[in-house]
Amino acid sequence: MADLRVRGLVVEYAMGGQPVRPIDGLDVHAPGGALVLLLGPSGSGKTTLLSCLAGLLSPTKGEITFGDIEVSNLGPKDRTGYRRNTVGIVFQAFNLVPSLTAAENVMAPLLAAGVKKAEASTRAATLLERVDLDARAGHRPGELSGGQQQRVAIARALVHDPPLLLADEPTAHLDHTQVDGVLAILAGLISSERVIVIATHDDRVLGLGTQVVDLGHRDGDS
Amino acid sequence: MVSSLVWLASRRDLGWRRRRFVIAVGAITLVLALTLLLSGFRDGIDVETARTVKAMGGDVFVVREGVSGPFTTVSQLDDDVAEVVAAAPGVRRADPIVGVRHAIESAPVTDVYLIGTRPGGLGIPAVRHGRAPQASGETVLDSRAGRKIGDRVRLGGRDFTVVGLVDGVSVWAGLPTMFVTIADAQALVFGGAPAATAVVATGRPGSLPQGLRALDVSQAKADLKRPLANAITTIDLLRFFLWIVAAAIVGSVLYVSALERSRDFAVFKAFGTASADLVGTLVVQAFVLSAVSAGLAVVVSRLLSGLFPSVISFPARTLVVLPLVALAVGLVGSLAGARRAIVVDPASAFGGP
Repeated sequence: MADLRVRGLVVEYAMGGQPVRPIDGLDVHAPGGALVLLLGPSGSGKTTLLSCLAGLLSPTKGEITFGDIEVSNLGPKDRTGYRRNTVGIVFQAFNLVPSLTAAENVMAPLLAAGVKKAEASTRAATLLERVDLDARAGHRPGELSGGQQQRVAIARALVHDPPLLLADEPTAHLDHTQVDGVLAILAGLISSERVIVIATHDDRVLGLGTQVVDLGHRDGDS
Repeated sequence: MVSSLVWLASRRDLGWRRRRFVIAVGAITLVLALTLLLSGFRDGIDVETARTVKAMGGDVFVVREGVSGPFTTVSQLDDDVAEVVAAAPGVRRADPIVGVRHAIESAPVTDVYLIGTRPGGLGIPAVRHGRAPQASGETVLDSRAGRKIGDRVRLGGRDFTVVGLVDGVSVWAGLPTMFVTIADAQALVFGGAPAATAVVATGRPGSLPQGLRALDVSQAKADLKRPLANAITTIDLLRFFLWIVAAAIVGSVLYVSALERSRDFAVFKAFGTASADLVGTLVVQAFVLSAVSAGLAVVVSRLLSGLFPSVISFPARTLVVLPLVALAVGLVGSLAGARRAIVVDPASAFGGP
């Protein structure tokens, strides 16, 4: 069971010649089984934090560890391996590859990791069934509704059974009926073997959280 | 090792943007077909030159000392020099020829390379249709002159009857040859004086009288080809630029594709796809574009080659070299897109649509 720990995290970059610190001294501890909600207005650093947790962005200061992985100290190659094996990401705009079918989108991370196509296909079929989209496996994203696309994106994020799942505004582009389905799936993913971090503005997601990080408060902590 | 994601993503993206790729294949095919035709034209000059020189049946061409060659300079020799050459050690036979550029005046006006030879002597190719000229007023024409046996043509104020045709005996990128008796040629060029511009001989003369020079077949070919040196250089440059155009088309298509796929690349990277795999998808597409275009270009250039009046030759090595060069062009063309794929920040996968 892996814990997520963030200590003294600072992210700073220059914008228009001025230094900007969307995250300044953040500490978070989320044990296995936690579903952490990142709250805060636009620009408060939610996506920046997700990028750091995903190993996509190097913090200016501080450290991030997940289990025994020191995420903030990983080199480029190890970061690729970390993302490939440890992290699943659900993007705000679904970000499915339009030329691939739903099944192929789900298979893609496994194929990138060198898993055989037949094995990846079986795993994708299982996950699409889990999100109730097995009948749409051969459809391209453009042929799916927003809710269906988000469910495919969730299936893709889960394809290698990651212990850390990150979701950026997973309900932002969905209508209320679609939101219910996505929330039900996310709720079903809570497990002691997994930490889920969701950045959201959506009040309907609040009920899922086991802890909240309000990035709107600059001195905020969990 | 290339992951199976590379093949899947490449194939699916080719299908997804098939209209653009079909248009690109069409454009690259035309460029490569044009390149092939230019190459064929360039090689055709060599083929034509070799064929024509060989058709004259000589091992050496004897000209006056200081003359560049038998085809490009009109320098008068007494035609009895042929007997002197024939008597030289190592020579089996020698005959005088008169070679000069001329034009058939009777419609349609046709430029020709006139060659006067002794009946039954060296200098005239085997006549496949009809017979060789035996008497004054008879001529054999290359089929590119567009005449048939029995036609009458007028040249230099004299009338000739076409008694035979030869195929593929032309000079300077399709200029047909016209063979007449040496007496008629002497009348046309030297006012009837018993003169020649060169002597064609078989065998290898050990020595020649002072004032004469022997050119072997390769020297004769170089002489015949020399007037086209500038054209050949121009063709080579055009071919080079056309390869660049082909690379630019591949490059622009793939670069635009890479720009449009920036978000996809970011997503792929975000879930752990190596940049090399993303570059691989572009390289595969570049290879497919180039290979398909090269294949079609071979067919198109073959179809179009019949429209050209000059010799278009497609040696077998072209079929080996073209795909290799096309693939290299595709690889170069994919570089800009590949660079784009490498620099995409995976963090850009976050954020709104």
